Amino acid sequence: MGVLHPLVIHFPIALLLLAFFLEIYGLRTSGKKYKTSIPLITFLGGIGAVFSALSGYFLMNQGDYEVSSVELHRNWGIALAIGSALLIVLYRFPPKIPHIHLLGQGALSILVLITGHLGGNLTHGEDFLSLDRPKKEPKQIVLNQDALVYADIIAPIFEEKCVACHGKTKQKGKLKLDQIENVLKGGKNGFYHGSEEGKMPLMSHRMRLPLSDKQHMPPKGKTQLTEKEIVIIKKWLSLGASPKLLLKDLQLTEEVVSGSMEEKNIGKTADWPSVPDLAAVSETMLTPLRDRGMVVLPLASGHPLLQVNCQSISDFSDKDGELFKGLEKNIASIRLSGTKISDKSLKWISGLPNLSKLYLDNTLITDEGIALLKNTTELRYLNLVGTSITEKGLRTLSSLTLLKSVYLYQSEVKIEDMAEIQQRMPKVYFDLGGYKIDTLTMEVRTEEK
Amino acid sequence: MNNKRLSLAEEAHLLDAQLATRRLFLKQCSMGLGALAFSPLINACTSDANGSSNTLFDPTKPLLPKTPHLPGKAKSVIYLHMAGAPSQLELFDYKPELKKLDGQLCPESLLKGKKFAFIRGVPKMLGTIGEFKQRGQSGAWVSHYMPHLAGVADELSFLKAVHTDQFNHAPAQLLMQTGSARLGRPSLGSWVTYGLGSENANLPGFVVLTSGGQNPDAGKSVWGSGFLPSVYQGVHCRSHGEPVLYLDNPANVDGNMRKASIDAINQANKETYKEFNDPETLSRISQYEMAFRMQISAPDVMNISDEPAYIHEMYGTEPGKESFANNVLLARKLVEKGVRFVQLFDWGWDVHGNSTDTSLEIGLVNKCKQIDKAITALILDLKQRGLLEETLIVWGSEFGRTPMQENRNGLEMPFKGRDHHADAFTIWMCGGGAKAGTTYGETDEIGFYPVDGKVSVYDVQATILHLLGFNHETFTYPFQGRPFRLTDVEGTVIKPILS
Repeated sequence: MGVLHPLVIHFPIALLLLAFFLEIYGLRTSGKKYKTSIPLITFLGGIGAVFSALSGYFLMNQGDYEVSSVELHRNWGIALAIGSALLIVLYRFPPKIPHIHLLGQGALSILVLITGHLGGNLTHGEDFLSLDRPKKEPKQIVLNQDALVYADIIAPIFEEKCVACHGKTKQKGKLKLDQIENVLKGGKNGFYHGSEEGKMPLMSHRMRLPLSDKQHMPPKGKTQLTEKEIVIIKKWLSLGASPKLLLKDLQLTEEVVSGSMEEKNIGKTADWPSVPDLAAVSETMLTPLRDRGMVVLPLASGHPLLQVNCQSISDFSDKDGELFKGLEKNIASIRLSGTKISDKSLKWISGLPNLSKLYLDNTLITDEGIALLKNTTELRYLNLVGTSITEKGLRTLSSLTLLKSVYLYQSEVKIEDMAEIQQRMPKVYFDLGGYKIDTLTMEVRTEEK
Repeated sequence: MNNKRLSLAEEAHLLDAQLATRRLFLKQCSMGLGALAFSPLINACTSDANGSSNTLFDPTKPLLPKTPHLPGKAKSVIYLHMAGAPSQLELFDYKPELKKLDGQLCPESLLKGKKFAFIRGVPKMLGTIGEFKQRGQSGAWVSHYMPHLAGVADELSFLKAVHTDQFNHAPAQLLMQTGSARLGRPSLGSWVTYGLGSENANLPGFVVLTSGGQNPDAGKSVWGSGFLPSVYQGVHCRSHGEPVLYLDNPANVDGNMRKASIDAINQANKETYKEFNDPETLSRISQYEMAFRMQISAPDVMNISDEPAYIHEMYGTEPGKESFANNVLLARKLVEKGVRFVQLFDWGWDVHGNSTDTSLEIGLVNKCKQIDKAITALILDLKQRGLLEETLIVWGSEFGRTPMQENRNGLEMPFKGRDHHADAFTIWMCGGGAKAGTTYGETDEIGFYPVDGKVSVYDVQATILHLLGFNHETFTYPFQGRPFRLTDVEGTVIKPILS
């Protein structure tokens, strides 16, 4: 019976408002002819209101909702049911008061609107109708190894994907996920799956069911948990779901950690340095760079690391390095291809601790400048195409343990020196370029039918 | 009645006043208030409940570089589309079993319930003509049709079991490039430039280059912007002569004068904008400004004849002619300068076997000759410049070819050829975060249906977007009351080919 509530309520809303409208319309001569139908419409609407109130009462008692939050809606609903019954009587035995029906219908319509609105708030959330609903900023989850698993990671996930149905106002299956005590209490079936103690927590079971399964949570059609979120929640539950557990206690594999961070837009992928404590730079700090013509962008939305492209500024030179003051830690990639910089610029470049990609192709830099790079330990990619770098400069790069690729096309590096360099830095991919493609012939068969 | 003559203006004023009765006033009030109350409800349908509004579109700077959802590996894309559909069974999908069945009648079970574009009745099986070898350390199968590309097989990442649901060129091309077989959706390149903007303010963000003598069957819609603002459609460069017309100022007009006239036009447009508030006017202003900047930068970038001789030797280019190789070299130059998306279409791959040009023995060989060396050069050239890591190359077509020989109208064909086949074909990617030296997906022993690693057109699109840093499920644009996305309601990122 309770489940019918959301269906039934639409009848009294529509019918009672219609009756009120016809009453008003009946004031005009052209509307008089509809007056005879008003008692019937009011009667149907009234019956609907009584049924709605009844079904609502059953729904409330099913326990998916907290009584305190439903109370107001319940009281207004009862008032509406009684009011509409009264109005039916007023039509049956009309008293001699002018416009009594119109006034009654008006009052009832106000009741309908209030009750309906309160009910809507219960199902869709309090801010459902507000005009300028604040945009929900995706929560950034701090994933450093000392983060509290519940408070820093899981609670925001629950907040985002679960509490709409399992929270303060609504508790489907009597489950509340707004606070850790309630999480541990579980719903009407308890915390564990199956009767025996020490079994899998019910939540872990439900998350793992196939999407088509009715018991799968979150239900089909709602925002699903990601694979990484499931792994973290399951592991946390299996370790006793203590609020004190730290991320490192879960001993997740590197892949899970970096993967979950990738999905949360922050943190370490193998391509970029891990910077859990670094704050994003404000847009105003980037204005001077942008005014100079640089393209400055975060790696991803909300990411603190920046990539900078100076390629299209034809007169970019050594003195422009000053523009980067205060941003040193945030710069992860800088493209200086074809600019007028010289070895002097390598001084400020070497002071960028998180620099991981550096494009110096077609610039005037030499071995002396490159030697300054030995402290940029996060460097992974170095483009030296079209420079006068020789094998001397390359030798100075051996302290860069993360270095993955170095491009040396059209530089002064000679192929015969590469064997030794490669031996010093076995993990690095050096590309000298200068590929030639011999024209190969393809046998054309001309056999015809 | 007052006999005083009224002037026309006075009379009009009087009539106007008579009309403005109290009744009218009240009527208008109620309608006005009703509309006022209704408008936020209407707006609520289009506002961004999940961050999917068109906030990415700033009409004054439509191509401003933007940040994707995730750190993407690829920064730009070169998409090589072989319009007409080459035969995967001759190039990449090696089927020795099919060779044994050559000339036999196709079993009924394969034909049951199937529809072909041209095959009628019972066709014969056609053994592969390609001579296949496993190449490089990855052991990818590449036939003798692509001898140069075979040399860089270790750089490629093959999808051998792609399927589509269209077997005619135009709808299949639309599906591949816009995510819908019907007209009206934005193309992949438009989505990407809409989402990422362009790092070079002096060039268009999305450039289209065509070769092979004809545009693709689906027409210009395959690089259209659909419901996205028109500034995101592909800029189609000419394939003969100057790629962009009218880059030179007319006689007796110098740069300053041109600048002055564009300033004047923009001033007029700004006035129009003040009056009508149409964002397309702002787009127009920014387009004029970009056109002016392009006059300075484009001639340099668009001209491939300045490239050194050994580069021409490598690509096999002949400046001035219309050729795929020229387009490929130009694509490299554009990407190097920060152009986001370069789309190439090469026409003439429809190997039905009804003429020499469409025969597997001669026509396909000639087409392969036109692209084989150039593509290989593109891969190696981007690599030596350190750009392959961040440039995604996609090679593919709209569908594949049948393992049966075509028998148009039930008759024997003059040459060997194959019909359109939607169920299984090959696409490869290279660079830009695609895992080098992988082969994913497998077809059955005659190459008819996928048996493993089956992926759809949407999966390919989702993967391309993923490599650029987009979550293809949340990258949407509101249109006609609902958020639209390239992959609509489908698509899964093909994780096995990600590096």
